[in-house]
Amino acid sequence: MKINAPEISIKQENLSSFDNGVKSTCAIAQPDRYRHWASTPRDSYQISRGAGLSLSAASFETESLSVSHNKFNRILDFDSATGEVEVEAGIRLFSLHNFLVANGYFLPIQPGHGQISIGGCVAADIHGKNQLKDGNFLEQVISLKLFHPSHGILNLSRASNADLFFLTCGGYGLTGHILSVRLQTQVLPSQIVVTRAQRFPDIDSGLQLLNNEATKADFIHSWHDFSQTGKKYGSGMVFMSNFEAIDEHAGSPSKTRSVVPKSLGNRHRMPAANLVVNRFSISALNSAYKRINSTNMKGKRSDIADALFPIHHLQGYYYFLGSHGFHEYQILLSKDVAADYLKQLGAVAAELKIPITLASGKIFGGQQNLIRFSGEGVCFAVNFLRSTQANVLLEWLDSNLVLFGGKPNLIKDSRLPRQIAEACYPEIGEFRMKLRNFDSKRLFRSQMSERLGL
Amino acid sequence: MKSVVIGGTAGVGREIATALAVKGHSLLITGKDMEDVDACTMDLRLRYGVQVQGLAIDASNSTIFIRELGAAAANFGEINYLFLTIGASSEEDTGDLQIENAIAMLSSNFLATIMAIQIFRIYFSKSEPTGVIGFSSVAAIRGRKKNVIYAASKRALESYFESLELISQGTNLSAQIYRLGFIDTYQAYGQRLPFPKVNPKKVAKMIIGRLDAASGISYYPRYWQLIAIVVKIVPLQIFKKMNS
Ligand SMILES: Cc1cc2nc3c(=O)[nH]c(=O)nc-3n(C[C@H](O)[C@H](O)[C@H](O)COP(=O)(O)OP(=O)(O)OC[C@H]3O[C@@H](n4cnc5c(N)ncnc54)[C@H](O)[C@@H]3O)c2cc1C
Repeated sequence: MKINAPEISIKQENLSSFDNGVKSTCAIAQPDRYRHWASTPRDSYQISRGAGLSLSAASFETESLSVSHNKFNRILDFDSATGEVEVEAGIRLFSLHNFLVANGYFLPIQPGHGQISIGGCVAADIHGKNQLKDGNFLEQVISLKLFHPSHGILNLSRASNADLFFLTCGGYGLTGHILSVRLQTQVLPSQIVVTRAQRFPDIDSGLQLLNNEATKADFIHSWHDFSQTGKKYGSGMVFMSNFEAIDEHAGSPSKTRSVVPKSLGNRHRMPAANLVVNRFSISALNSAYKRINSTNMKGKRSDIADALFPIHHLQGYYYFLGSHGFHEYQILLSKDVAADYLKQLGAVAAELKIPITLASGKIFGGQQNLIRFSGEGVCFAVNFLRSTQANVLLEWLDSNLVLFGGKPNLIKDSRLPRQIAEACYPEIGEFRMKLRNFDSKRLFRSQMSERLGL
Repeated sequence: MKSVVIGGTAGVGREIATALAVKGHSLLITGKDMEDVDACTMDLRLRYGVQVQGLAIDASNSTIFIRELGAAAANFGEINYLFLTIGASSEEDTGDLQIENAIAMLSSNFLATIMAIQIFRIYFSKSEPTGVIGFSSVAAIRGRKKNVIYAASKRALESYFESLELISQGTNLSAQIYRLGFIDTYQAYGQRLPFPKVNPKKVAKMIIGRLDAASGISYYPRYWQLIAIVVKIVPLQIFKKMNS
């Protein structure tokens, strides 16, 4: 379908998924007044775009108009007694964080980089630093305003338009443009977070430790060295953070620290990364990482912003993954099979001589529904460079994920085949049906929604 | 300090309002639509703890504009700075714009602006620094085939500022007008332009940093001064070709 939007300024831009797996030239609009929303096309495909940082191509498609929320980044309301805050969906996490912290509040559930937008967090129903304790982003959403060219502006919450509310939170932008979101924030217990790291010798003990500690920590994740072979495969550390118990600075506006992260993108990546990234360099880097973090063992004090957005200091990592791109394979597996799957993954990767540049785990809890990446189990992510060999590994990962009864994170994988998503998400059909009931024209489309047949 | 930003809900105006709020100014900001005005006023109040009043008025209708701005000015009281970041352009402004559209364009780019100055003149502080900051465009350098009424209105505005500078001599009121080059706003979005677009934040920062500068006309980015000289001295025959 041709994009027909005469009343809105549009430009053509080369857009790509954060993993550089999908690149397209797309039409993009950037409204800066509310009246511009009424000018978004009624009969052309379109999709909202937040910060454009998803690893999957979820906010663009060649035949869709990407509508950027960049200029809609204002704070609309804040109740200092209850911590409820209402924001426009294009606001970046760091910007909201700076405001909240200055007022003694924070959002516990946030992804690892402050440049990500609130709209992107709602639409992908992201998880934060301890999903088991806090749940997914949806837990923080009180209500939202959605604009759809055929329906106008709709107010959604658990009490009003509940079905559409749940379809939108974790609906990957397919129900319409989220204009604003009302969020429940939490009192910030302390400005300071104390992190301890505990080593483990292998994958089994690592996952065990992660599971045991997850209920006690405010933020927790495991890091694994997948460059090791034999018994040491998957050895690593569990990082556990808790708010410092007594902090006289808590909630004091004058003592809080503002963060302004560097912009994050996928334009500046190292050419020919495959010449540098190999088993030996990764092994050396992992050893260095373990040594550096041994200071953490006793407890490292850091600002809440550093704990919530650890990637601000590590974003150089993405440069080394190269201009050719990388894969992030993030999955949710039941606890009893996770270690088995990960061991087999290691064996296949080693056989294919694919260095795993990152391996990290979290513990999840709660119910899974529709196509949200949630539910009980071990959430595990691995990174590796794009290559022909990588495609063989991916085929193994996909087919075994189905066999092991796991779930892939749709927003993190720019190539996941439709049949794998269908095999792993039993309610995908229900999602499709509900979406069509609301929007018979299926106006909102992205490369991801087309690939997955949503 | 108290400042007024006419057209303070988008583009350069929004950035100026933000930069002023950062400095602690109490603000009156206007915009065409209430939703935008509300969003901007709330954001500035909440983030910077400053007093912000908002007013939704449409500069394309000068009669209503004058009446409503007059009332808001009386309510807001004494001020230090008045920023006039309104303007409107149209692709159809090529010489035969419909009369009502032409009047609306004249109003947005000239009439409403000078009326705003007239309205606020009696409210400028007598004891603290004060200033009127207007915005022209490089389109006003020379007559042209596109943006005909827009360019003419901006040229008229420059003339008004020259007069304002003269009549304000010996007072604490400065009258600065900027001929802006290409700015990265909604109006320029997607347009292929011969020179780079400047981030509105940068424009606002520059303007706020020069509030105590002398009255007069300035170019931003500065290199447009050179381009202006060239455009002015190019013989008519060549200029006609450049314009077609
Ligand atoms: C460095 C990094 C760290 C990350 N860490 C985590 C993590 O810890 N946990 C986690 O779960 N995820 C994480 N992610 C993934 C990330 O949180 C999601 O991909 C998120 O959706 C990105 O948001 P965005 O603002 O970049 O949105 P985009 O990539 O622009 O869009 C993502 C989706 O949201 C939709 N969308 C965006 N804005 C709106 C709107 N206003 N209205 C309707 N739909 C909208 C888009 O249509 C699209 O479907 C991380 C990603 C990166 C790059």
